[in-house]
Amino acid sequence: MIARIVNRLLSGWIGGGLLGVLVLVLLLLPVVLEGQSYWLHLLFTVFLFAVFGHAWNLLAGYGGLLSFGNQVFVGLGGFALALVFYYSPLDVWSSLPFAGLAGLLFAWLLAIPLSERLAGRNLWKPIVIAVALWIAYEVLVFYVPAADVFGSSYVRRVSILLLIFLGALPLLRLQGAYFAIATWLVAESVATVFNEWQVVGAGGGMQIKSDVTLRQLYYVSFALLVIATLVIWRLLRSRYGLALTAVRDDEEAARTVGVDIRRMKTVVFLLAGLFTGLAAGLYYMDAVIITPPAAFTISWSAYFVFVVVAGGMGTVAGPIIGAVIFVIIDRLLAGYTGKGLLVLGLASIVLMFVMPRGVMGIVNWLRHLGPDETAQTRQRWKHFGQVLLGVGGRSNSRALDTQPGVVAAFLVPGSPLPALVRDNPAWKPLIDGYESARKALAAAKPDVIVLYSTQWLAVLDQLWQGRPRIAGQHVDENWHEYGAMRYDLRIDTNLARACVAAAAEAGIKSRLVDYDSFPIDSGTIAAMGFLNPHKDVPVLIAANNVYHDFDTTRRLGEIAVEQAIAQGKRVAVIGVGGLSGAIFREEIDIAQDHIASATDDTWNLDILRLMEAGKTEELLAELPQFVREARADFGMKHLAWLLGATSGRLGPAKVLAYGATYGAGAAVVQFSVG
Amino acid sequence: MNEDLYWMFIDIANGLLSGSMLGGYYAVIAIGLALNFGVMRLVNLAHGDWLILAGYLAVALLSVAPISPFLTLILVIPVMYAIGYLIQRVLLNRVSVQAAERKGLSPSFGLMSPLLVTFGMSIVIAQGLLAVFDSNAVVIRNDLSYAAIRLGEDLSVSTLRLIFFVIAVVMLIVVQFFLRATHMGRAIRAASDDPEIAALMGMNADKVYAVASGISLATAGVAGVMIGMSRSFQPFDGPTFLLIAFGVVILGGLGSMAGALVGGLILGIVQVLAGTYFGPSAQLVGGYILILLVLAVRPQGLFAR
Repeated sequence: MIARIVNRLLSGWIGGGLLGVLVLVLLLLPVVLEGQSYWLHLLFTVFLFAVFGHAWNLLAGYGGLLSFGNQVFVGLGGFALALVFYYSPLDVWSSLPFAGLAGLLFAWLLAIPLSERLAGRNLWKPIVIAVALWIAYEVLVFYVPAADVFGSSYVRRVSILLLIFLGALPLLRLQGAYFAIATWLVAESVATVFNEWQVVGAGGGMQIKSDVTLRQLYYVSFALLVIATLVIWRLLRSRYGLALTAVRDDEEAARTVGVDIRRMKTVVFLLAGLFTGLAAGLYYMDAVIITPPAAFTISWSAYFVFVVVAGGMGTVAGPIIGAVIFVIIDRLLAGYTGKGLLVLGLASIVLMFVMPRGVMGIVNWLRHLGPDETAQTRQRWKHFGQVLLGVGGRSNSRALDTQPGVVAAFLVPGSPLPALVRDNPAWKPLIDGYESARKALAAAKPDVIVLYSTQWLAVLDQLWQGRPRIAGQHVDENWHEYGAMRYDLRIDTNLARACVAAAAEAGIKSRLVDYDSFPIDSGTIAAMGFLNPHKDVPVLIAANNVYHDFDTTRRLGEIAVEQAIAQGKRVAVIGVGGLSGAIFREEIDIAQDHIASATDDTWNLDILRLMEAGKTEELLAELPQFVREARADFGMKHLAWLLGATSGRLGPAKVLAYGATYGAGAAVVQFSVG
Repeated sequence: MNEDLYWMFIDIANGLLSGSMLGGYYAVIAIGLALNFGVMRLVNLAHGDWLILAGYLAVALLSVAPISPFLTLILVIPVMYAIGYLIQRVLLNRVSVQAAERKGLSPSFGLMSPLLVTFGMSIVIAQGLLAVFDSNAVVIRNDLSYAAIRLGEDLSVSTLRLIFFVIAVVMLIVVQFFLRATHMGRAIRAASDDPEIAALMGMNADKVYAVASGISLATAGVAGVMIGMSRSFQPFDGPTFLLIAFGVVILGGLGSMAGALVGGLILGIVQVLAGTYFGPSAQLVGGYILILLVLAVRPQGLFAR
């Protein structure tokens, strides 16, 4: 219910309409608030800090580059504006682009060592050119002292040396704390130069005395915010954006799939420099006085961190919301206490513990209070009503539909082949089998599918998929010639979390995987594509840890269903995996696909017969031999999952289809339950 | 000509000598950070502010009881240990990669959260100090500030710096001995090598981390009093010392105790020489450039395994 309201508010024409109204109000506000400059100034500050936050978020939230040195762009942008305005005939608005340019150029300087052409050994060439230019300049200054824009030989030499250094050191390659400290050191080094530089007033700073009005600043900063937001939004929706999140989540993995990491980092770094520089220019137009200690202070980073963390790191709206919170705390609350930064510091520590994903984290949580949760609530109310009216749940035929428990169980092939080549006549029976299973599944009206795939291999822990919605394309490792498989899955994350906790309690080390574009295995994709094509039912996906034996897997199935029932859900159980195995020893014409050997065939039929007869005891007794002799898929752990999920009461089965997938045995089996 | 050569040698000798003495002082500043990182893989961005807090503790104590500044350590060390222990137990053990995973957050966030929390802590400490004391610079008065030991006609060494150097060496030996020879020390090293295995062996990793963090802040207490005795300081000076400490640790290799002394010596000598030849303001920037260079070329430190 809440989720639906929140989703409505945030998307579609209602969301768009609200956003449009907000923009309109903000545009008209200066006219309405004629003369009340206090509120306009607060909003102006919000806009600027939202832009600063966007820049920092681009690095930290998307690029995984935690920067404590963004103040260098603030200082350079502010001083670039002051210098151009003071020393050139340009007016203050024409000087503003130089603020952005300064940030951009400095970011570019730092990014040079990352570029493709200069990778590795080629870097010495630009260094040699730079040193040669420097010597030429020193000679020039010796004969024509007026050419020295630095004012003193010390500042000149240190600045040039520092620039060459920064242009040559691959600082952007650093990660985590190293990157944070390196950026901070860069900012401090630049600050020491500005402290000495007579041209920028040495430590005393400069003034930007212009005739800008607050209303102009308001509109320009608003425009900057809108542009920055749109650019970042576009960037994240492009191919770059996807690659970027991949880099953030796992740089190694991203590199192996061919993401150009250097290029990604360069792009975000340049944008961060540009936006921070422009916003700093606007900030100092309003502040008028700029001094090196204040412009390059680490406090800026403290502000940026707060803005982004409070709003929600790694979200587009986060920095905007964070900027509002920042201004409220810093300007309004601190106005009463006089301890702005103290409150800010405390607030950011508390935030990290209470809501590490910021306000946007809460909004997303509300959005994903999916139908499963609503179903659960409905279930509780129904139960409450039954108790109240004295109507027994079981005597009420309509209530049967909503009784929690296992309502369907299926064994489906692990091979993706039928899903990849749907028109192969040899696999037609399997596809038809899937279709019958789909109808049976839909008729059982489950609230959740609990699926175990032998094809999702895990080594360290028991993994459970934990991302609310995961969509993308997957190319099977063995069958890449048949093309990519699309998938779009809705995950029951509440159940997944409960399973992680319950499994850990049972001594099975478990972990939730909650990463963007985490690879989904072919078996799961095929099964979901056939059985749950419209993703009507959310799913729980458990991995196959190769070190877990049959009994552990059985225990996992049991845990998953226990937790689902505890949440009041009707469960459909699916075990994904094949029967007899086959080694690709010889080429098989897929149109004539057949079980690799007659022995395998006999074994498969024998096992299926025991399933149909519902003779679980005998089945379990024969299983070890079957696994050994027919090299069965992963020790038939998918069957263990089904057994566990039904607490060992696996009823007589109906074999919907049996066939071969490149020589290996495959079957679609529906078990009766209850 | 001979005169020039003589002064050149004196300059270099002075640079090496006072640089080394400065290096000892830098090593004390950095031990805590190195220990923190070595054991908990935690980069404590509030380290500099803890140093300053310890300095203020000594100042507050001296304003009540006029004793020798060295005696303030009797109180400062245990207080700092207690703070370190509690902070680790209450706050920092809850923000780690593992903790983030338990909450279902991405690992990159897990790496960031301790940095963000200690960064917030740094702001809170500095602002808290500003609220209690004020922004005027303070100093811990002592008789040794201007005393020097003359080694030759134009060569001398500050008595205070020499004492600091000796303290640095003694502290490094004590910490190293503690880590190698005591039960708790071994537990700390085990936990730093592999927290999961250590937990399997029945160790309470949370407690081990808390002790390590306590020791780290205890060393910060010594360093803070040293800072106060050798120069004046203000509530906001923390970040400057954090950068020095970080520089030392980068040069020596994160988490290495002996590396801290070597790193301190290198940084001290480079800074003093840069100051001698290019003027006082080159001291800072020279140090920064050195650290950036090492970061870029050998981020694991010059002497890391």
